[in-house]
Amino acid sequence: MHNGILYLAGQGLKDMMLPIIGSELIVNLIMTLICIVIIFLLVAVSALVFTYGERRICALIQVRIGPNRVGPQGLLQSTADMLKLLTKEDIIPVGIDRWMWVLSPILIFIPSAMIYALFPFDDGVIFADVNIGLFLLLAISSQSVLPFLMGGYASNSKYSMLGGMRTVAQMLAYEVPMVISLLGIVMITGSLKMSAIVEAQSNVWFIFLQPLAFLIYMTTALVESNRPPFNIVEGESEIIAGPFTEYTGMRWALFFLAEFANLLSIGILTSVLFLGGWQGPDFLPTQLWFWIKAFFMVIVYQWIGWTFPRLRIDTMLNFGWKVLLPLALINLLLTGIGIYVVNAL
Amino acid sequence: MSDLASTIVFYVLALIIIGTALGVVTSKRLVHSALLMTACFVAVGILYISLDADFLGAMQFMLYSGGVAILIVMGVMLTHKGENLPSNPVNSKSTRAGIVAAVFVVVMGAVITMLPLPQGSFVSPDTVSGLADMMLSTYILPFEIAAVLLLSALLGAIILAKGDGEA
Repeated sequence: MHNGILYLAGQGLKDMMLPIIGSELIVNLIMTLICIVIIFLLVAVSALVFTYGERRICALIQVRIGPNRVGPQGLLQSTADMLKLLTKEDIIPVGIDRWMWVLSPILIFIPSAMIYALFPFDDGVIFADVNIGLFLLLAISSQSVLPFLMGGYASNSKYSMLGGMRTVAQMLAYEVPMVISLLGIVMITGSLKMSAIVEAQSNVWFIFLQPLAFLIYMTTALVESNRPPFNIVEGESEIIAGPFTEYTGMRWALFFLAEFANLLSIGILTSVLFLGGWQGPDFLPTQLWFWIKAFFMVIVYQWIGWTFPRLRIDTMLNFGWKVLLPLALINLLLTGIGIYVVNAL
Repeated sequence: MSDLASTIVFYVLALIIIGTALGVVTSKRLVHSALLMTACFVAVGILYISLDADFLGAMQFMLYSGGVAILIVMGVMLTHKGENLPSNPVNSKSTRAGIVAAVFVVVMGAVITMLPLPQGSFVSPDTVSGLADMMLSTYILPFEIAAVLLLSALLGAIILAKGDGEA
């Protein structure tokens, strides 16, 4: 019934292991572990690729050269950065709230990696295709607010605290229009299941049915993942990286890893929710379509980030509550009327 | 999930829930209490999911993490007493709290032992549409009344925050 490359590969691996190991339970356990390893590898590799890609794309957009010294065309730059981060001294500031400070970068990474389990990567390839898929996804990704605040509070520094407070303000403000804009999709699909949402787009992508929701989602996704021009949580020029100010070395790298995991996941989510996910014309395999769309959206998000200047916190919150929320509600209303009319015809 | 696995999951979660809940009341600092409460809520949410109430579990995640974040912001703003001083104001009333807790345990224990709980397994394949049907057809009136209540609370909060003459 499913014929994606990844699905067939997974089934093949399972069929190969079953006669050797014997017990189906153990085979399923091994497959789950393999999936978890793959997700973590994906996140780690995407962080490596994106650090380089982001700096080169940023340079391209801003008419600069960017890193070009380490390796051919600067390709080994992110490897060098990683080595630098690994060998850095682990500075633990005096006067911090020790446990909260240590836990914050770890906890921030967990929801970012966890939501990968809910992405439909290919036909039949989704690690957890639960009934409440989209809702669970939003619920898990909303968990990243608290670790930011924890880090900001525990660092015992003014800049960190300000950054933590800003996180709460902006993430909670933009979560509301995001959820309401995605409700239109759920209404058309009639299900919260991620695979059902992708399959509902086999004829027409949701970007054409829900253009307003697409724009609202793009804006809120940038805010929720702290991407520029909405990265006032970090705001290097005002509050010196906010919650990350007091972190060095690998602890700081975990924040960084979570940020790139978020970048990839908003790219994947946009393509899954609005661009038809893994579906596409037959001349390319479905798996390739999936990654083409996801990486295209990642580049679009980076493009937006490096083109617009950073917003001020009060204008941004005003925009969220007074513009995006009413727009999302109007979109919801229009979708409801549209569905009613289509059903009546 | 097999019976053994779900029993193990239940006891592990129960330990986490009770441990974090104890931490909430015994912690010396308000922010720690609030964060431990989040951990407690998340564990309760996982417990719901393990009992097949997945929508309720996700709701628990979504609402309480945001709610607790605001609680912490409030706590930090309202109780700025200095860095390492105990900032949890209710710790001194442990005797009274102990009495209340003991009464609660007795009452709950009595209720649970007296109430005939239904035996056997209950399987609900799709909690979302079931809940939606209930909320928007059978129980539409209570649902709307709750919405009006929340709206009036929202308006009240705005008026309180704006102060006299501004709203």
